[in-house]
Amino acid sequence: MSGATFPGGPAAERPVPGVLDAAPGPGDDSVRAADGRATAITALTPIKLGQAPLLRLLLVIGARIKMLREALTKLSFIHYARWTIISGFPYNGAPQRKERLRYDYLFFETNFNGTWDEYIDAFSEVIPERMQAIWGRCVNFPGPRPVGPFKEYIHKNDLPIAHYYAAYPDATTTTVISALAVRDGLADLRARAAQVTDPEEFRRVYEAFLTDVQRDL
Amino acid sequence: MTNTSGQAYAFMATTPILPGRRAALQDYLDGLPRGEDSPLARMRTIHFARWLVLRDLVHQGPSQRRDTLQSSYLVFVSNFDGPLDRFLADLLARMGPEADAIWRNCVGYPGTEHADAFIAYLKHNQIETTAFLSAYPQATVADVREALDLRRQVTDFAISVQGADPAALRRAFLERFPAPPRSPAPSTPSPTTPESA
Repeated sequence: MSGATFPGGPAAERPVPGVLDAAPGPGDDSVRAADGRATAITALTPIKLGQAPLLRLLLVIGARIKMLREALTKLSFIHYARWTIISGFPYNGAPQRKERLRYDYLFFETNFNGTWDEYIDAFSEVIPERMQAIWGRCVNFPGPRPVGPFKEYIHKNDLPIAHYYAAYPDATTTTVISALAVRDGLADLRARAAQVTDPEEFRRVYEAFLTDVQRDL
Repeated sequence: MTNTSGQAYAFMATTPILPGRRAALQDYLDGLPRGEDSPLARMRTIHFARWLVLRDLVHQGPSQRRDTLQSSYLVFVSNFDGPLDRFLADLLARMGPEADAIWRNCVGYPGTEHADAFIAYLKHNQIETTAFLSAYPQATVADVREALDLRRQVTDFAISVQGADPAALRRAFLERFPAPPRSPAPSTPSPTTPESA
């Protein structure tokens, strides 16, 4: 990644305002932003002045009620998602300089299955109102539809990832949820199997278990 | 608690990078082995984790007043099996040298000799999560891995017993999936369980 810096001296690494290159194209970081089938997005966007408190309330409540929980269920390919409002960065003494941010920032971190494009398409198609409710409070958000400008907005603000790790990279969210259901059903079946000594009866119990989990296998 | 969803914890720490160290830090992170060989894999309680090097804020356009950062920041973001203190202690125990190689590039880093100081440093730089959602909030990494394995086993078993008579089916099932012991083993690894080779 390139970016102009002042030559020499301790200020060499200080970012130069306005000279930071635009985020690299999707191909550049696609290797790092994925691990197996798990894909990552990390978006940082300035919140419109004065709107952070309302957005915070919306997110906190949204996480507890259907608004955001349902969004996650509808977008069945998301493992974990978080929104965090950043009002400042903790101070650690010199040589760190205290930040004087003009804006609060919305940080969004997500882990999902599928391509970056599929993800943004799904947000735009399935939960556009919720997208508008959250990102509508950010500066220059173009709206979730049409999807073109929405993708440009997210892509521009998608931070490059230096290292990404996923614990079960080959499993989709749907597979994980299914597997957990199979595990529960199997535990029940194992507990019953020893007690059900009649083979025919056991076969019925076993078939019922398979029927229950057939969608999960 | 906004940092948690079920038993999962959403952690984020932003630590300012020392002047002159950003490129070296970026190189080190880029060079870390990936997948199962990532140092993060040793943790066994991390669902997802990432490091980012935040160089500056992205300007949105003419309608936005210009906002810039005084420092570059190393951002560490992770979703893991809680609680936080145990996770941070584990990080030090299982990937101390790598953690040191990474965070020594940041302002105020105390080193890894004293676990308390290391943990305090990351907690000092923690940014509290506003809203955190998980598709399976109660499942630990161990739960997920066990479940995925069992699912495979059940599929294999179901195929293998197709056409078997009921007695043979029951025998095969009991052999393959014996009744659980009276006190089931804990599904989450105990923090004091020694690491097996």
